[in-house]
Amino acid sequence: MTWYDWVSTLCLCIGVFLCLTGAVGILRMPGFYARLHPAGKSDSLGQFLVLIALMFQAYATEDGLNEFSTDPRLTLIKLILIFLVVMITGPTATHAITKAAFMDGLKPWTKESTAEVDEHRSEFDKAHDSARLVVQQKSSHAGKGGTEC
Amino acid sequence: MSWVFLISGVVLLIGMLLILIRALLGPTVFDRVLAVNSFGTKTVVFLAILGFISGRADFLDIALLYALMNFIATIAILKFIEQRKLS
Repeated sequence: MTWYDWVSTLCLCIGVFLCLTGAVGILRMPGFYARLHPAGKSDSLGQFLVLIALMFQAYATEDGLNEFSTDPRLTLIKLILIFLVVMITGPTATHAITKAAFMDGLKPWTKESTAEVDEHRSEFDKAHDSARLVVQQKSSHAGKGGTEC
Repeated sequence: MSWVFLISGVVLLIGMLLILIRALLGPTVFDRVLAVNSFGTKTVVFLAILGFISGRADFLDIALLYALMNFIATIAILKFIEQRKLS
């Protein structure tokens, strides 16, 4: 393995890890505006890192490791085009979703508003909240104290 | 090098599955739109990785096309939600 193989593998691992954490964040965050955070930031960085890793790989295929039937420089240009498109459209789409939600009058999630919007929330979030309540009661029942976070 | 791409693709698929769960559960319509948009951008990355797994550069064209289509679809859905008409 040459050095750009190692750089490519490192970028790919970090990027895929960020994509996975972004997905978990989208699934687990409590409110819509909180969900924008993993969707807008960690996803974008993960995609950029994966595409940079693929660019390194396309460059590495130029000297002897070429798996493609086409010119490796064409692959590089295509990857740069995808990079530019994703870089421009991703934040724009996130901004548009946020603006649409704000114009629609969606309130940010707070702990006090949980009971108020309870009928709009899914069964998954209710189960999550009740499970968290049970854990909090157990930890306070243990009597250690001062371990709240 | 191919097994790194293979593992990355599987991890990306797991992430896409989690986002799909949010798209199905989402309390408001904006959660669904956000999840579908994120799913689409992850699909772009997955298609690019798939091109490197199978050794065919044609997948990158499909990925580029999918990125543009995903953006247009998101903006169109949001415009329809906001204004109730597309014209």
